[in-house]
Amino acid sequence: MKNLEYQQQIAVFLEQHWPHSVYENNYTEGHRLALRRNFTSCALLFSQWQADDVFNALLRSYVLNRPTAHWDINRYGAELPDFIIAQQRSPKGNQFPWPLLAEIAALEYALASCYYGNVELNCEQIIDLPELLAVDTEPLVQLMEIIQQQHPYTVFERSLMDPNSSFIESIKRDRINPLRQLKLQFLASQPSAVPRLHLSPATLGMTAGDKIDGNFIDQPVSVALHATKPKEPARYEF
Amino acid sequence: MTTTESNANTHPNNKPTASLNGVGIGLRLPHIQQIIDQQPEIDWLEIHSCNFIDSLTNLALLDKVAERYRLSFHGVSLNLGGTDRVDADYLSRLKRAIDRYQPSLISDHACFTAVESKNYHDLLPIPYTSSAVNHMAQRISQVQDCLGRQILLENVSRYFTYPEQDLTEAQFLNEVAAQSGCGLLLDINNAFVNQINHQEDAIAFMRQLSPSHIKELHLGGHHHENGILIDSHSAPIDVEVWKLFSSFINTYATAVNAELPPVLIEWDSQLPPLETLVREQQLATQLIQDCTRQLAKRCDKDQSRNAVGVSTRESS
Repeated sequence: MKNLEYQQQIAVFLEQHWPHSVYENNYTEGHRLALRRNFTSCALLFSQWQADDVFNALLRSYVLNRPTAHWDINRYGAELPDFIIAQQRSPKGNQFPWPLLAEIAALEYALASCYYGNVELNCEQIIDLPELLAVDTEPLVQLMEIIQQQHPYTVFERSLMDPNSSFIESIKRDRINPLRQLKLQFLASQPSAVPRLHLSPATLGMTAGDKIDGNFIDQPVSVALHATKPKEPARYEF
Repeated sequence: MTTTESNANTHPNNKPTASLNGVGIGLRLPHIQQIIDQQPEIDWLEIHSCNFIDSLTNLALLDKVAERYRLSFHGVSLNLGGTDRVDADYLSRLKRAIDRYQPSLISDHACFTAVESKNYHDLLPIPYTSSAVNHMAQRISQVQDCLGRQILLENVSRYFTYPEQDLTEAQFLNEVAAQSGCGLLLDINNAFVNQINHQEDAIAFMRQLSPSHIKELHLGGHHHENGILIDSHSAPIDVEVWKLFSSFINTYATAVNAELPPVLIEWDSQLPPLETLVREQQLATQLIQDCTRQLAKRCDKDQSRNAVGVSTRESS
C-alpha cells in the first residue's frame, strides 16, 4: 500500500526545495566528477588544449540533460560519446576534434564497464579500437599511458614484434600501429596473483565473446563488449 | 507504535557472523593493492559495497582482502526512504556478495536516493514523521527478509528540514529500529554537522538514541562551504568530533554494560595516503583506551569510597 502522505512530502521537497540547494550542487558536481573519472583521457586532452572550462561546461550540460536510473554512479556516462559527437554542430563545432574525442570517450567507457559492468573473470574480451586511433600512433601511445595511470591493473603485453621492448616503446620507436583491436584478459586462475587486466594486440583466432570456463559468482553472462561507434543524435545540446 | 528493544538486536533470519570490535578503516579502491600487499594492522575494513557488487574485478580483489581482514558492507543504494519499488537487481547482487563474504555488518542510510527512475546518488532528506517511520520500517523489513540478515541504519547529515515533521531524529531512528528490527549506525560527524547547521544538540541526540540499538560508529571529516558544514569525508576528523566521540564513550559505558560498538574511520574524497588513515585509526584506538582507563579509575574510586562509607557505618 502506498504511503501517499509521505510520497507527497518527498515530491514537494524535490520540486520546491531541491533546486538551487546544497543537494542540487552535490548532484551536479558529484556527477561531473564521476564523468571526469570515467573519461580521464578526454579530460586530459582538454587540459592540454587549455580548455578545461569547455570540457567542464560540456559535462555540466550532460549532467543537466541526462539523468540516470542506474544505482551505480561508476556507470554514469554511457551516452557521453554520442553527446560529444553532437558538438560538431554546436558553435564550437570547428574548435575541437569532436569525432576523435567521441571515439576516445567510447573506448574509455568500454574500459570503465570492464571494471564496473559485471564482466566475467577468466575471460577475454575484444574492444574495437576507434578508427582514428587505429591509424595514428601518437594519440594511441598517449591514450595507453593515460589508461595505465587510470587503471592500475591494466598491463600492456610485450609486442610480438619485439619481445625485448615494451609494447608502448615499440610503437613509439617503430611508429607502426599494429592495433585494430584491444584484447582484455581477466585472469583469476592464479590463486597467488591479483587478477590483472591485460591489453594486447588482437591475435588471430580470437573472436568477441570467447571465454574460458569458470564463473566467478554469477550465472554466465555475455562477455561480448565493443566500444560502439558513437552516433550523432538528432540535435546538439551544448 | 511501541518501542520494543527485544527485537532490535537480532533479525529472525540472522546468520551467526564473526563480530567486529576495535577500530576499522573504510577501504577505498586506490588503497586496495597496498592493503593486499602490506596487510597493515587494522582491526577490520569496511567496503563501499556499491563499488564491488557489480564489479567482478573488484570482487576478485576483495577475495584477497577477505583472506586477512574481517569485513563490513556499507552501501548507499538501498534507497530505504524511496517511494519506487526496492531495486530488485541491486538487492540480488548485494545478497550474492553478502552470502559470499559473510560481512559482520551491513548498513545503509536513513534517506532516499532515487525517485521515479532518477537516481540522485546522494543522501536526500526524509521527514521525521510517523508515516515516514512506517514507510522506512516496512522497506527495511523487506530488505532484511531478502538478505536474511539484520541491517544497520545510519543517521545522515541534513541540509533541509521538513516543516511537517513531528518527531526528533533520534525518536525517528529508535522507532524505525524498533519496528523493523534493524540496528543503528551512529555517525558522530553527521551529528556534529547537523548540530552546527541546524543549531541542534549533538550530545542530546546521541543520548536519545537507544544504546542497545547502536551497532557501529562512524568518524569522519567535513569541510566549510558558504557558511555551513558539508559532510564530505574529505578532511581529518575535527577536534569537536573527537570530543563528541569521547562523550559518547562515557555515556555508552554508563548506559550499557558492554564493549563499545566497532568504530570506523571514513575518508572518501581528497583521499590521503593509507598511512594517514592508519594514524587516525590509531588515534581513535588510543582515545578509546584512555577513556576506558579513566572510567575504570573513576569506578575504582567510587567503589573504594562506598567501601569506606560502609565500613564507617559498620564501625559506628
